[in-house]
Amino acid sequence: MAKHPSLRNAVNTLVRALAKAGLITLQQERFEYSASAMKRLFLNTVDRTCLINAVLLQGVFAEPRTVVKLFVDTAMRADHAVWAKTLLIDQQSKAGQGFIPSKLTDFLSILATDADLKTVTLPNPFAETLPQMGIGPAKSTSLMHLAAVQAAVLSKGDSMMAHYLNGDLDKAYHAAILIGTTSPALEQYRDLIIRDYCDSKAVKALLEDWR
Amino acid sequence: MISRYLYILFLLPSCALAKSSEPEPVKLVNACKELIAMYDRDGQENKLVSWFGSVSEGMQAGYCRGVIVEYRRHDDLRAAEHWSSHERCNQPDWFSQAQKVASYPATSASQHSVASLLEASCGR
Repeated sequence: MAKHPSLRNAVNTLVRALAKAGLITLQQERFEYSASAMKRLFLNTVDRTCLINAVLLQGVFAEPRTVVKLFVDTAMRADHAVWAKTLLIDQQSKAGQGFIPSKLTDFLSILATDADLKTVTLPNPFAETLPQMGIGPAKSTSLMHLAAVQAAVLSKGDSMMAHYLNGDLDKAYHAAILIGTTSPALEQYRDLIIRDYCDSKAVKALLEDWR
Repeated sequence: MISRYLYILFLLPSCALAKSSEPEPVKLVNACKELIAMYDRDGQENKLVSWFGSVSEGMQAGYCRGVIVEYRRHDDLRAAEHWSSHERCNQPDWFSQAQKVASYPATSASQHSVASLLEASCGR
């Protein structure tokens, strides 16, 4: 832990977010004989699975906020599982992060079910290093970020692409028209979605007109 | 060695040739199957269906509708001319006739002509 400050920071942030959401309970203890006034945090053993899963999920999705939501919001969890699958399985050779394909498939399929993430331990898809260590080629701190950079799908494009890949053209279109010009590649996806929406609307109107 | 490459040469255009070698009646049946499938998919899903990249399906669907609408228009003219002896089509509109055409197996359609296929779909 001490050797990888970026991992320590990432996990600390995550632990705080999880505790705040009431997913895990932390116990604070003050060392009476310690010279420093530093507090140490202790975890309950029952929360072990939850924390392991959270760290792995953070490795994939980066944002602690997203990780917390994955535990509680089943609809969002399903959305993200599909999206992660599309981005990671299709682009895995490009992502540059070493991971074990069979474990990743297991990881994603458990994520796609509604198995309780507080009791079922997810398989570790990362080969040797966690992305949070920040020592990958792109110094990215999550697998999704790495894949998203590759696919040029950044923050704002997230929901647009998630809806689109989910087959919800209406929602994807409404997300797309809100996106300004940020990156050329993202613009391409946005224009593609807008074009697909207009074309599909026209086909629908034509089918109705014919009947 | 050369025969090995010739074999590959023959394999390459197989995708593009597959459709054009079909006889006209088979094309019509398949086109109507595409048309009905488009309506089915549009009706089943309660959100907007993405037709991205469905140009070939769309063109086939349009072909089927065009053939049937024109056939029915011609049939109406014939009915006006020979009103006493003309047997009207038993399908009330182009859509039900397209459904009838789409119901024929594509394999047996090759044994008939387009005209006889359309006549049969009208119950004649």
